[in-house]
Amino acid sequence: MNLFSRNTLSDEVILNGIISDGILQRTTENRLYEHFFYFIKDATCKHKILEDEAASLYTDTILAFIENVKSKRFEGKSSLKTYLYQIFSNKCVDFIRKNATNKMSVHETQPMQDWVLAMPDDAKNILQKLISDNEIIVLKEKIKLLGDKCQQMLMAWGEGFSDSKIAEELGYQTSNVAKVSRLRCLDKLKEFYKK
Amino acid sequence: MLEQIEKYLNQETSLSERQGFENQLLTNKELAKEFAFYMQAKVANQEIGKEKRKAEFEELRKEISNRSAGKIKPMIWISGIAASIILALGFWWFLTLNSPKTDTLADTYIQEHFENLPVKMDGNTDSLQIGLRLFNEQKLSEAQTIFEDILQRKNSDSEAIKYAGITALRLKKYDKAIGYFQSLSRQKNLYSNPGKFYQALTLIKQHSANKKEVKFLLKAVIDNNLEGNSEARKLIISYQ
Repeated sequence: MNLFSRNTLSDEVILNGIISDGILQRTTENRLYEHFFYFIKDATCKHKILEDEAASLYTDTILAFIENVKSKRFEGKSSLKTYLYQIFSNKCVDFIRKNATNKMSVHETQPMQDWVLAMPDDAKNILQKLISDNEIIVLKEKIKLLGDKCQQMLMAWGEGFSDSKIAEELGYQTSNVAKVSRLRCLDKLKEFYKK
Repeated sequence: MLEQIEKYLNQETSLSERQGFENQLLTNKELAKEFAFYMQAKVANQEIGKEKRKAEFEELRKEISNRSAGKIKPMIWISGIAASIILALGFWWFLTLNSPKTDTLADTYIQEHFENLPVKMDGNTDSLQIGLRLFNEQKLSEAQTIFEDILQRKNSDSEAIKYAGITALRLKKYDKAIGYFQSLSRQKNLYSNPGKFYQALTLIKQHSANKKEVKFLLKAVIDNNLEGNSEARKLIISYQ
């Protein structure tokens, strides 16, 4: 009976599902979302935040976790529940602080990716000057001008899918064909961006 | 140029090519702009992906909430039933805890009513009075013999039956006592008949007694307003 027990979903099943492909990955992510759904209610009681706010933070938590698993930043030193709850709690506390002090947004874009941070300082400084949140917002609008296939492909690329996986998902014959198509899409985006 | 950037980022270049690329970034503004575009395009697409997934999760949330809403009714039923059981158990526990034990009540009654039986003070020497005096002197066996002698002569003597039963009860001859009290309760022409109540009392003292029978007897006493009615009410509450 569901009243006293939650469906069992082991950490191993979740982790393997997230790093798998396609439907299994989506299904696992959805099951993960559902599995710890009660965090939302807990947060409304514990942190006195609205349910919609808690739900938004919970979704951010799940997305952050998925990203951490994919990028192997989740080392499995704690149980998945503990790890998720820690992220979620931090997000709730940040959110409350942000509301109290009106400081930076929790959802702020983090344009400086890990690999740029590893660059030499001079190069990094130049790039930092060229990158801004506003430009990202503009680019997001320009992406909408691209065809569906290009949008799908670039979104998959943005999410970290390799060309071979993109080829598989979107029906390209080889990863090279997918790569060429992707770079063409990026060129097209650049054209829209420069206009 | 985008391919060159990608090779650098994917670490598909040699160390010298890497250093060369990084130096170029400092001097070649076009390359730096292209690099910035590449990064921003990646982040923009990443965000779009996240937004799409967030929207999907939001849909899932609505679905889960609807499902939970559908479960509210059975949940309320289950909670209601559980609460009723807890209340009933609590009530039973309260009564049990706060009511003296049945055995104690029975003992108290026996002590108060069967320690001394009413004797006529006129020096009457009939057998019944002799038996009662012996009883009050705690000569229970002798008293029992007297009462049984009377019953030998007149087996429908309700007074003799009653006292023979009480004496048997005091002597802990419960089966015998029950027999007398049953016989007493069957007597129809008595103004007040304690037969059923005494029978219940004896059954309580005889711990192996059938609980249903005790309850039935006590209930009959209460319902028919027979002698022992008020005591029967106390006993039936404590008798679980």
